[in-house]
Amino acid sequence: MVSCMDSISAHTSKTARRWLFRQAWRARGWVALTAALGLASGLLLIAQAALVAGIVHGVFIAGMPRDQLGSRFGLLIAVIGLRALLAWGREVAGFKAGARVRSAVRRALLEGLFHTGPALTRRHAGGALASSVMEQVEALHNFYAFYLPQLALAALVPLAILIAVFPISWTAGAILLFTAPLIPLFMILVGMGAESISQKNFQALSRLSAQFLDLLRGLPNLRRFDRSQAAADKVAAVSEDYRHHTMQVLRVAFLSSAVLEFFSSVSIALVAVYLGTSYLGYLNFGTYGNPLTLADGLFILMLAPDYFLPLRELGTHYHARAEAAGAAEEILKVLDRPPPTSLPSNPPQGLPQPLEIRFRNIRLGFEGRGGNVLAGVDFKLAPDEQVALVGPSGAGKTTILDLLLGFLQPDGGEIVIGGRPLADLDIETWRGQLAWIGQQPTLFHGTLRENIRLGRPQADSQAIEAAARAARVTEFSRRLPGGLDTRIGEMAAGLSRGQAQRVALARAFLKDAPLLLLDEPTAGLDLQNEQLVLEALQALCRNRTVLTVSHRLASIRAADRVLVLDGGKIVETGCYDALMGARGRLYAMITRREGAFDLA
Amino acid sequence: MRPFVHLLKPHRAWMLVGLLPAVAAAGAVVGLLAVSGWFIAAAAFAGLTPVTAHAFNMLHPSVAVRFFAILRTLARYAERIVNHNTTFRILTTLRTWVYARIAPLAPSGLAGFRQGDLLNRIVADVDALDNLFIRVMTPSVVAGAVMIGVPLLLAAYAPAAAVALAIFLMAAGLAVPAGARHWGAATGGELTQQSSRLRIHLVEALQGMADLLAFNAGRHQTERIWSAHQALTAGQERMSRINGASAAGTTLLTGGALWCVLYIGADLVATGALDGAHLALMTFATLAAFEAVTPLAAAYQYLGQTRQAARRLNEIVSRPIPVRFPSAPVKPVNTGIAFESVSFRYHPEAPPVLEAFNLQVAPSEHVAIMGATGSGKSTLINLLCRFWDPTAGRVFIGNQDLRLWPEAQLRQNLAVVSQQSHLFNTSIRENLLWAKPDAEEADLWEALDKARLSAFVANLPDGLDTWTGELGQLISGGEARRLAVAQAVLRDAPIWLLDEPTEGLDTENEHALIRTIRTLTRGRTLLIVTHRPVGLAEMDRVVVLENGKVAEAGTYEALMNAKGRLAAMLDAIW
Repeated sequence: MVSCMDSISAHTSKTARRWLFRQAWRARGWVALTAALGLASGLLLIAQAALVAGIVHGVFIAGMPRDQLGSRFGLLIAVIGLRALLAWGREVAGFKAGARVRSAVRRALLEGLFHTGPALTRRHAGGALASSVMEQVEALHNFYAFYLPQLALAALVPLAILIAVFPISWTAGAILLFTAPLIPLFMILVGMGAESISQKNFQALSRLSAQFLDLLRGLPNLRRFDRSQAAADKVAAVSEDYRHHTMQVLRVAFLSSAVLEFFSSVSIALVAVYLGTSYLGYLNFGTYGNPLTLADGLFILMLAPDYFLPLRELGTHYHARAEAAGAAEEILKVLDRPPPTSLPSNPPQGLPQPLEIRFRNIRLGFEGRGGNVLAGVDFKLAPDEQVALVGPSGAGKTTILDLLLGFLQPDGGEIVIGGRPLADLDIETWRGQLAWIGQQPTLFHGTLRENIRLGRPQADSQAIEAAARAARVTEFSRRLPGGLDTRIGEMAAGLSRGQAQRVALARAFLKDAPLLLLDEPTAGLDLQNEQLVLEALQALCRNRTVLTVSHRLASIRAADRVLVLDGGKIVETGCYDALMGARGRLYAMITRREGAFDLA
Repeated sequence: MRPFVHLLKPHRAWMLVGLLPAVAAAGAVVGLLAVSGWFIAAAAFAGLTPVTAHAFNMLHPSVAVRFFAILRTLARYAERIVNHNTTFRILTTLRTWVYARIAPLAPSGLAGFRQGDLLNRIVADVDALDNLFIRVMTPSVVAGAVMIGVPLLLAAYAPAAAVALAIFLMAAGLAVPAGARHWGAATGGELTQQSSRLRIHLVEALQGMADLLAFNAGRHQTERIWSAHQALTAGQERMSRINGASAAGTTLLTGGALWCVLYIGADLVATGALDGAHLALMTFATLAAFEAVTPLAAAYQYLGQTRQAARRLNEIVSRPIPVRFPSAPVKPVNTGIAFESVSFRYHPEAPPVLEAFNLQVAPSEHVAIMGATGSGKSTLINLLCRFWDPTAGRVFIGNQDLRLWPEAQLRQNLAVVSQQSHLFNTSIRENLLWAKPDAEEADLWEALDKARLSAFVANLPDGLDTWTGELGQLISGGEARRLAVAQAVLRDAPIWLLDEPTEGLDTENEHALIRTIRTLTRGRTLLIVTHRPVGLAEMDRVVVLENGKVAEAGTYEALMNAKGRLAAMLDAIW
């Protein structure tokens, strides 16, 4: 089972990796600049080696006094200063590369989320989506800032060193070349090793963390079972178990980095021994017939560790790559959604009047749910009509509201507004015509006033206060230190459900839209708040078209018409008295409620 | 940090064992380069005349070079293995310790934080502390050894150069990271704030997506999120400039040390006070020394994070244990429950949840508590579990004050099914065994049978061993709730407490579950807290809770006939 999971993750990370490289295009200039600065720094390192070798050779072999080497010492200072500047530039340019990709991806995610709308955000836990936009996007950074430029440097810097060494001694060049046989191959070999180490280690640690978190989450349960001590023992046992397993894997995995370590050490040793023996005259080949000077030898020896350095640095950035690939997978889960279900935007235009709403044979199914949620829904809302939509939970009442709000598009059938298909209207103009109050209003960070004017940002304070009064917000805002300017959202100044619902009502009052969609706005409220909200609602509904999803008998009785939704269809429609008289579905549902407690 | 450093003590031996190869590997790097440099310079000098060339003993240096090459490889490998192993051991100790400290706090001692955030943070902070050894201590010790060792090596040839090297090494290893931390501290603090502002706007947008779109406010919110993003990016850019400056500083210091050693050494060689081969040795040793010091910058960063993690963890684990249980057993006279003018609030500043609340539940009586969200229903259950103690008044079980009950005895008498019953991410079997560790296979099936879940489990591909992580797709809310009921059955307790057991279930499942519970609790005391109307008629008594007080109580029929609060609450058809 574990191997199966691994192969799945390997498969998906291939797409994720491809996506990662595609995103690099957005920051190609900065990635290239970062690599170029790194290469320039590498070239300066070669110059530095030549200068240092020349100085040692000068005083030791050529017997020059220090003062004669002044120009070399001066140049060395210049080279060091330049390398420092390049180091700064690399960091800043790399940041720009990462930041540019992060901005683009975050923007795309946000647009995707707003475009797909509540149909997506409702189904997912908020935390997971927020983490995609926050942490996962941040996790992309090092891939572009460090890993990609380093990938280029790992090939270019060793190449430059080989080009510098070969003209002096082909033997030394060959030692370097063959101890890292075919650099690309070596990189792949080491890369796989480094990646599998960091992945295995990371996997083990994250599984352990997940298990630890699971036991912490279950603590209230464990205490009820009086088993918290057993759980602490379990934490220890599982931890130890993982240690044994992971160490077995790591023992092998670390061998691959030991190989790189070994080759780089051995090549230095070989170069040193080769150079020493040729100086002593035991070896006489590899230098095109010119005897090696000490300057040549020191130059080559100094470059030997730098030849392997970019490869080793690439290894340290491998976890950036693994992290980015993991993040890319999470991001793609959001970006790779099937085409958005919400309405497309159309050019702004006037709305047909009057606002008569008609559902024509609307069908809609959801992924992963057999059959259609709506299987041919037909109904009409006349202007200023007050209609209650009732039905058992899961019948699709909220889906009907979502369709009207443009959060969802029907699979079949047509919604017609005053003779024009809803799909042809400009969605923002349409939404300007309606106000919606759900079961769980969201209040945003900011003042009460800002929350009330959500739908009309330019509203003057007189209008806002009138709306607050009408929605009974004033009754509690009066007692708050800042009145309507009290900031909410911070824990201390949180509002109760009922108060929040009244703020949502005030939004609707202020928006003053001709169509009102209500989704059980009083569900779960205490009696006092429920009363206040109901009274305010009564005022709000006057002279508007209202579609209410409700479980309340009182609201159902008060409606002009009741639509009974069951099995994805409107099965009954008419006023309450007529439907009760007809003894149909509504009657059955209500009497079933009254008999519900005798069922057992 | 201190309590956590204390936890490292049992691992001292392994930590020392791990430090040895770490230092050896760094020493081998210095040795390899220094000996190589010396060897070729001396050989080049000796090679100037055939006599000296012949007299030169090249056996020792070439053996030394190979020795260091192999030592470096082996020491690195040993270091990695030993230190990763030690890290895992430390992690075990840390987790066990933190868990044992947090367990008596849950859930009341952890209140005041959003639970999910808090637990996530604890896990992340323990992971961060785990880095203390491998990412902070090891590189510090290695850098320290090199900072002392290499200048000492140089001092044998040229004391002035050794002093210069020591100064540059310390500047690179200590001053540069400290400077970066100093200049970065303000920006770092801003970054935390900016990223939390971004998260707040993001989370509210996700939660309030419907409100935003319905009120055409999506664009406005996107702008808010975007301006938070831009502020964050600008802060990060400032930070990257600081990082760049610190990288530049390290490069300058490495180069500066090289330059100074050469400058001082060159003069000594020219005047004959120093062997030229030793100048080569000093040059290579200097370059190699900085390789060991550079990682200190990262270690400093980790140290900062680790300190913060330690501070946060400490804040949590040092909280007072909210409820302490006595150890002497009590002798309850029956399985009745009584609340005697109980008042309760979650915080001293918070509004009261219960106010002089009175309720008597007779042994084997079945009572439903009805109330709106936030009316204090769940608090009753929390008080009975003694997760909290009442602010005033007393709670009794079996005529014994709850404060006299030892924890184990209390738990044995209570079976709780809560709305948020946690399913552990293991097999169904293990989830059930948490409730009763010594249960036999037959007991498990019997419990599942009583919870009317045995057919479902028998049909799962792996039966009892099906992993609940995979159940996400297989199991419905109703089945999860039934699993919690099966756990309660295994507890075999005389008193059952149910907190909104049917929340989120459809009508069909709701009726079925209530029927199951009724059957199972015949002859036991049952307290069921709910705002759903289902099953009320079958209860011995219905209590309506409002504003922390009993608003009305009686049989379902009597209350409905009285057309009071219950009737008003139930004026809903589903």
